[in-house]
Amino acid sequence: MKLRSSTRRRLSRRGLALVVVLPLIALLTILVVTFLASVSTEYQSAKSQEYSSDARMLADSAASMVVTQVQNATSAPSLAWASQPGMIRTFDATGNATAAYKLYSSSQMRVGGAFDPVSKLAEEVPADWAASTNTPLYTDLNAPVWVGRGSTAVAHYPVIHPGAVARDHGATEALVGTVAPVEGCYLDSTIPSGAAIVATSTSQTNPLPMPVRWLYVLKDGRMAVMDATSRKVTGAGDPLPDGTLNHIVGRIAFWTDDESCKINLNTASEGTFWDRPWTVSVTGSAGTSDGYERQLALRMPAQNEFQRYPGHPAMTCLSTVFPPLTEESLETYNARIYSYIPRVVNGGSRSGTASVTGSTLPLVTDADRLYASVDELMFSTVGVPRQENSRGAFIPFAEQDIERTRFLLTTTSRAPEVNLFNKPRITLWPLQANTTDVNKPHEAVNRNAQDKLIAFCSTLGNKSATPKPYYFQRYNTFTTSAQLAQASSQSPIMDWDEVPRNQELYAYLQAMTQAQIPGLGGSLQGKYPATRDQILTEMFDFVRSHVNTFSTAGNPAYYYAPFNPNRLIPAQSQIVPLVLPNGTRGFGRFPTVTEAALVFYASSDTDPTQMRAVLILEPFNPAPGPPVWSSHVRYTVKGMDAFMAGTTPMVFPSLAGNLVTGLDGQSNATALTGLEQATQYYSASGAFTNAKVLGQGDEETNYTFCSADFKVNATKFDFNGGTITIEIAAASSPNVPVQTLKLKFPAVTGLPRPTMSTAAYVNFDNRIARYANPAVKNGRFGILEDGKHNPLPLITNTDTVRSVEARYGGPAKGDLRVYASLREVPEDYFEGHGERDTALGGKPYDAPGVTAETNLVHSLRIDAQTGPGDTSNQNGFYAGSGGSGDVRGKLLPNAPYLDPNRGDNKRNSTAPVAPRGLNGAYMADGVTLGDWDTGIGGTADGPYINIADQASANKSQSSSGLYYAKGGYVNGAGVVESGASFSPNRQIASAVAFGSLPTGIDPARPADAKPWQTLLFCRNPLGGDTHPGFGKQQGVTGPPAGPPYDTPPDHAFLDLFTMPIVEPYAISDPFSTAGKVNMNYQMVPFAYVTRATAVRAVLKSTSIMAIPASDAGKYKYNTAAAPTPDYRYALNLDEREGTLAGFERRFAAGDIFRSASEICDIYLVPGKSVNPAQPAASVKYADMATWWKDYQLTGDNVREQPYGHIYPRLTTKSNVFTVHVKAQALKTLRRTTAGEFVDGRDLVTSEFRGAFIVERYLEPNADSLVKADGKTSTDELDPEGMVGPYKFRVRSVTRFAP
Amino acid sequence: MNRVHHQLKPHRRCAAFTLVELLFVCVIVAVLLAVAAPLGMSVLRASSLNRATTMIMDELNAARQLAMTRNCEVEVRFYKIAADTSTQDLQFRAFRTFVMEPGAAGQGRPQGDVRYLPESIIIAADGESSTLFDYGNPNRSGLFLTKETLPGQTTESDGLGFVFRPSGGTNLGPIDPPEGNWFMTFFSQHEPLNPETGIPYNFGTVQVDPVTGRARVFRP
Amino acid sequence: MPHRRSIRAFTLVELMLAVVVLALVVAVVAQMTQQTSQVWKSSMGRIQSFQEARGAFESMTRTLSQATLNTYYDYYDSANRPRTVLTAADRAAFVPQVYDRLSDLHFISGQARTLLAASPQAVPTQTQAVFFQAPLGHSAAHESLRASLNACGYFLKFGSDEASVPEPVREAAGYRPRYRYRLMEMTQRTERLGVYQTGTGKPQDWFVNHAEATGRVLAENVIALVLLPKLSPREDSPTGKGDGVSLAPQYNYNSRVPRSATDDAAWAGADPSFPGDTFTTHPPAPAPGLPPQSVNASRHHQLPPLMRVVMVVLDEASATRLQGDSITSPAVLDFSGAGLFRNAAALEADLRAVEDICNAEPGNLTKNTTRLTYRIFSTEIMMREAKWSAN
Repeated sequence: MKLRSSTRRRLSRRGLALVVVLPLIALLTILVVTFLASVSTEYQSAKSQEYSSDARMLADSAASMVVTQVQNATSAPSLAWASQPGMIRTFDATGNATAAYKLYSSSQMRVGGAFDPVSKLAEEVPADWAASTNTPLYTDLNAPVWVGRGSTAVAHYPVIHPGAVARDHGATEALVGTVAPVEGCYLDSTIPSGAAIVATSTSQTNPLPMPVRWLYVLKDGRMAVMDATSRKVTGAGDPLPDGTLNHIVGRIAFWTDDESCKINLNTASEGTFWDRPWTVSVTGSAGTSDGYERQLALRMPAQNEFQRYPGHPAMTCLSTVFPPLTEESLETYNARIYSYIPRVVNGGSRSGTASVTGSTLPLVTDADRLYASVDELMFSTVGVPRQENSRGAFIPFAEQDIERTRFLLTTTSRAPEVNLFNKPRITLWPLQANTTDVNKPHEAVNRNAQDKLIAFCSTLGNKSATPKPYYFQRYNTFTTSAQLAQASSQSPIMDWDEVPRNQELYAYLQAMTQAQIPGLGGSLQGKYPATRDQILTEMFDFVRSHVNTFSTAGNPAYYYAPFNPNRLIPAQSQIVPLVLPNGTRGFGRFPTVTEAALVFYASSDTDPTQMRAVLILEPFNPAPGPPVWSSHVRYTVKGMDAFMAGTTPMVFPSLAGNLVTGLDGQSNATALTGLEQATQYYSASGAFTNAKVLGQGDEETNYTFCSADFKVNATKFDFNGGTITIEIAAASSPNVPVQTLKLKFPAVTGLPRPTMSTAAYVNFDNRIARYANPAVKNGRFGILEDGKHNPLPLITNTDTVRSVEARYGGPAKGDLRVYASLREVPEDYFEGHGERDTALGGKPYDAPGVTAETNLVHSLRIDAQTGPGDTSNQNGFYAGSGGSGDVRGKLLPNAPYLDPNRGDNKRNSTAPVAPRGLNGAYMADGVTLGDWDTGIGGTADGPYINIADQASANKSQSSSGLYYAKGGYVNGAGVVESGASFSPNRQIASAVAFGSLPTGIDPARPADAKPWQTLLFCRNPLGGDTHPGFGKQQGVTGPPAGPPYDTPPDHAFLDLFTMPIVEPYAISDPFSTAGKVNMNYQMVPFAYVTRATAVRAVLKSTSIMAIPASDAGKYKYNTAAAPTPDYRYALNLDEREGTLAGFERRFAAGDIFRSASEICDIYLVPGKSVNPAQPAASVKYADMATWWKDYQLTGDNVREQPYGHIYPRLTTKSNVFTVHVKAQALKTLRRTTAGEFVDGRDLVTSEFRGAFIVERYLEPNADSLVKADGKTSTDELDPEGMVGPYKFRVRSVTRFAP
Repeated sequence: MNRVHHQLKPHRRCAAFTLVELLFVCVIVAVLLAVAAPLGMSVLRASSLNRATTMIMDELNAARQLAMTRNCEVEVRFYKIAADTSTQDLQFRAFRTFVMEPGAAGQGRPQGDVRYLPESIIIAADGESSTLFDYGNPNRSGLFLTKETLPGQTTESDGLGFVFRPSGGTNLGPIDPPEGNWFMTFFSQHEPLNPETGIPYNFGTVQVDPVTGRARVFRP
Repeated sequence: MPHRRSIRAFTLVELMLAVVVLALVVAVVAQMTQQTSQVWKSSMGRIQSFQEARGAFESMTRTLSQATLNTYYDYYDSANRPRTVLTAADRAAFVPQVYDRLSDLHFISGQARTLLAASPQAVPTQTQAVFFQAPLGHSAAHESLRASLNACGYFLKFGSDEASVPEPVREAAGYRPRYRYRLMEMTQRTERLGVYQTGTGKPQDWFVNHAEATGRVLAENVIALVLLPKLSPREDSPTGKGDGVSLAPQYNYNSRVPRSATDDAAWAGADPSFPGDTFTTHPPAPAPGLPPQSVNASRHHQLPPLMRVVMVVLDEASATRLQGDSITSPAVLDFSGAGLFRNAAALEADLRAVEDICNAEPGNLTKNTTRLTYRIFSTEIMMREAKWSAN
């Protein structure tokens, strides 16, 4: 019983235990399992979050690696650097490459010396990179991600979309898709080993792979590539100090794009070419069939029409990326582009289709925001919801459009605006000082809106106590046009003496030209040992004298040179050349004298033996062209009192002064302005001028260069000759001569005595102005208001004339620029007509002792434009000029200039301004054809200095537009300067404007002048490859293909200057400019992909002009029988045979451009004519030198002008880079050997793909010149100093997560 | 003999439960369960609703996380299938995740197996209850319709899915509230319906934020 | 056999006893299970809600660090007007006085009640809010845009979840709206980007009018969102050891404060007030050896270089406890009533006060007696796009 009960109890307990335990176990199991499951989910999610931040951190390290590379490459003051997609290279002062810094993951990140991406391609990326065994070594950064599914699946490419890339050069098919590829974007099948890399295989399905090495990141932060054979990563698996092994934690692959190789949406638009007209043009009725040149004159860009300003980034063309649709007209298309480009609006000349007149209002830039990212291009800026921007009429942009073009567009590109020495460039825009202390530029007054921004952009340490301006300053300017007293524009020294900063900048330029040029080699001082200072002075003076001499558009209006926007005033736009203490001298805008003619005339009706002599001076101004100018100078002549006719003294005054107020004269913009004006005086009313009266009274109302009446009994007389001294002084300081010239009249015997004419102009009083019939008004502008508009008959064939003129065989060989540049022009520069140099068939002056038979011996030129009824039979030259057989000066030998025989009553002479007898402007070597300029509009060619384009006046009385009116009428209705087209950037696009400044003038040795030799800023000078402006390399004949140079090319000067872009907004920051395009578009290491689109966009809006020598008879004169053709051609941009072939040659040589000025070493290849009716030029890049031989009538300035448009929009350096990254966090399994990683087995725990935009920038308010350490401040003359310190920032991160 | 019996009996009793004993306990438990049946059934159903919630949430969270980690699109696709072969009652009962692998066009790679909701749990297919399945609504975008043959099935099943982007967000539109309210409601087929709402009183709703991709669950 | 059977059989008593014991055991186990599950649930809830908060915090700081102003330079006239805002006629007569930063975008942070006071739908909120633009690429119709601009904003909103709850849930019988503080995210997609709307509206309309309407819940039970634009400590004080608060001493910061303005007219009357444009900073010495100089810095069109972001989050259980069935915001969470988060220099002290409130410490500012489970998330983020310069 006991047993039983106990058993029973036990049994029940056991049963209970079972009942309790079973469910409990079940419950606990459930709980534990749930818990574990939950914890593991939790753990997984936490882990993966951690992993993804790992990948992101690895990606950050890629960006910082690029920053370090950029920093290392760009922080040596003595090295020049140039960037390209994937690489930065540095160059030393010998012009040789020092190192290449790779900006992509590679086994060796820095390579010493030069680097040829093409030959190194196979080494960087082997053909079998995509093989499955190579996955731990290489990865494709452009591997697409497919989004969507099935037939709707779309591949998104992180870097470059193959839909934009053509299969090969010239192919019309893109790699994928049906849309045509983007211009200049193609796979280059000529690159060896490129094809194998691209070839698709089973493991490589991307048509456009961009493979780079994986860099493995170790636990201690070290990075190394995996060895291709041992499959080991250096350092991986080594023990660390903390006892653990240094295992692999991740890997990164990256490639850095250069943002400046893309088109900037915030600056580019669609350019419509504009330039000053250089030839005449077909004129049609009511402007319907105006020729191209005429359209340029009539439809000049209005103010703020940036899309037509030469050199403005808005000239860069988006049509390379978004071409117009077939049915779209040019203007519609452009208007569409402008509608989505911020701050650019349609209007003004409406893409060159509408005339710009005085009533044209300045364009009002829109307030569109700037694009913050390329993707924003999709949408309009306003409206809710915002509409898609249109890609054609009623066709909105689609995502694919953005997707395809993202690789070609940017919103952030900026290029450093420093020279090859890493120091500041000097701004081409002169600014007014007008302060008591000119070293405090911020206290300056008389600066308009643009001036202030330009000043800001060009000042180092703006907010510091001692800001350093990098622009030339004018000592004073005026706010009314009448103020003249003490104007520094009328002083040869004030702008130097009173502005110490100008002296510092000059010294800075001297230092820069003294030094060996990093990246190019050689020094400019070495190239021009005797004339370097003169060149610098010419540049300084050019900026001071020809840029921004007045501003009527902004507030305040100011005038540097005297100027009246409504009419001519004395000394309008006249500027006295600057003279520096070192003896060098600029040109200013000031006359010199090229000929002095002594006119003997019969002065008595009754006494045939009575005569009188008058001295006529022919002035020359090397700076012709608009704006109109008037000389206000005093010519003083000494030494004429010794002149005798036989034994009879002519009784000239020993010192005669003639104060010329050149208000009268139609041609107030030509080189010869001033001859006629010398005979007239200025009436205070300004509305009307009167002729002077011969006599030695008041020089303002008298023409004092006249003798007394004297008598010669015989019909022949001897002239004793003698040397006269001519002094030219500004009227504001009439006793301070600006220039002194000595001219020697040779003695001559047996001159015919002048006879009395039956014509109306007997009396010289009548000659110089007054028409014999008092009922008829006085002559004006050098012509008579006689209903026929005959030129004044200064000389009649009853007179006897002997002249002294510029010698074509003298030291200056007829280059009148040399005359203008010298303070004292020696006697040697002149000769009696034909006295020393061969007369070339003309009548000689008559050597001493030789009986002279010809009565008229001179070359005086008529500057006036005569009327349609001209009956004077004077065609561009005064009666008897040189006699009928004399040879007119020719700049181009054998060119059939329109020069009808003397006596022809046609008014169409287009003979160039060159001394009589000159048969071709040859350089000092006597063989090389020299540099001369094409005249503006219908103006004759000549030795000019190509002044900046200040012709912002939009109205002239002549209907053909300002550039064709040689100055415009000034009788009240004359030039009206409303500022409708004023803009700094339009005036001077770049330093290429210096291209006509002579380089061969040594002021200390005028006898050694090298004439017809100017700065060379193009590849195609008239003189060809022997032009001294090219760089030289020992052992290379002709211009070398590129650096290094022993003697640097002239274009090295360009690098020292800049023109900031301050409109429509501050595109230029201090020392950087947005939207410049990198010439080095070659991609490293992916040399098999060509992306020339952005460079094409820069070049696209430019055209070149080429005038065949055979057209010398019509290029300046249009007739219905022989209409003037259009001489301009759009560029052929092709990479194989067009302009870009020049770029490709450089890349093919394993080199890149070190300086944007090297564009001057590239031929611009012509393509289609601007006139659709004319044939296109058919020439290949290789044949350009030969081609130009047929177009020798093209002046130096016209040849260089397109380079001036292009150069300021190009760069070779970038401040902004996009780092395309692929980063993976890795986890190696336990069984993997330490230090190895096995793809496919070990784990990729997370991945980050995306792009970092990295910017190198200067703190605008804290920038300064520093030493290499980035801290020690220094000055601009320190060779170890550079602009800095640069900072870096990551501008944005875009994750590639389509 | 008796003795032997005596000796053996306790020994045997100590050694283990007899089958009978075990059966007996089971019977008792069964009886107890039977008594608690009405309560139990609802608990059971609630638990399958719970399980469904967890399954859906896990799948969505995992898919989102996968998209972010792998930097690729991940699709979650729901299938309309019958509970068993005998019925034609096609309802959303299963789902699966697809990885749109970089470089691979087309359908994507299935990530894991098809997961089936606990029996009788279905996801409402009407637009009011499940905007995530409101495929026909022209104002909604981002939903993909597919047909595929699931493993172990002979016929094609309709599938409806949406995609998590690598950013963690989804491709669903619109995103602005109130239209941008994306959710799905699931419940047991066998429960009585609430006449006002047309779905049972007991249900779960999973809401997916179209921008952030985060899923949130509601259980009234 | 009968003998054996009699031994084996249970008696009724035994059976009853067994049943009773079993019932007891089951009851105990059930109790245990329930408690475990409750603890489980609550801890899971806490983990989950803090997890949600953590995710939200990370996403918010990541987005905030992408804020951009896309600044450029342009010039201003003597009335401190930039050219772009003028009419064509005014522009013709524009006399520039100075050049300075300009931006079409807007960054504003400050007291949420002030910023959202004019919202068409009232937004019950507290502590700070921030509104800005960032290239996030959110577009409804164009999915593959990577970096188009979006307007973003973060603020707290107290209210029911009715608007965001799916309809079936709202219609369910047991549904009771949950009144909570929530962290809201405003995302204005690219197509609707309102910041450039010109015309009659106020410059701040782009967020004032849209924050409430387009805001979505990012995290629940966020009771404080503190956003403080900061300078580096180095620049903040002449000693180089400041706390960075001179940039936004009272949290308020508006990138559109007019140049040189002494006070921010767009937010006149705000309490605390929005600062004017200029303030004093102390950049490092210009060169070694030279004494550091203080400079006048300005705020207009600059992104703050740093942002301190602090978020205080409750767990759902605490929130439920605190809220009960009330539909008004709990008085104990009224931080602005308690004078907290108005003075940036007192940020740390204010956070300690909030901790005291949550811990129901005696003498806490809002006299809270319910212990609340809370967590504070805090970080300082670098504004990547900020190119901070002193003036």
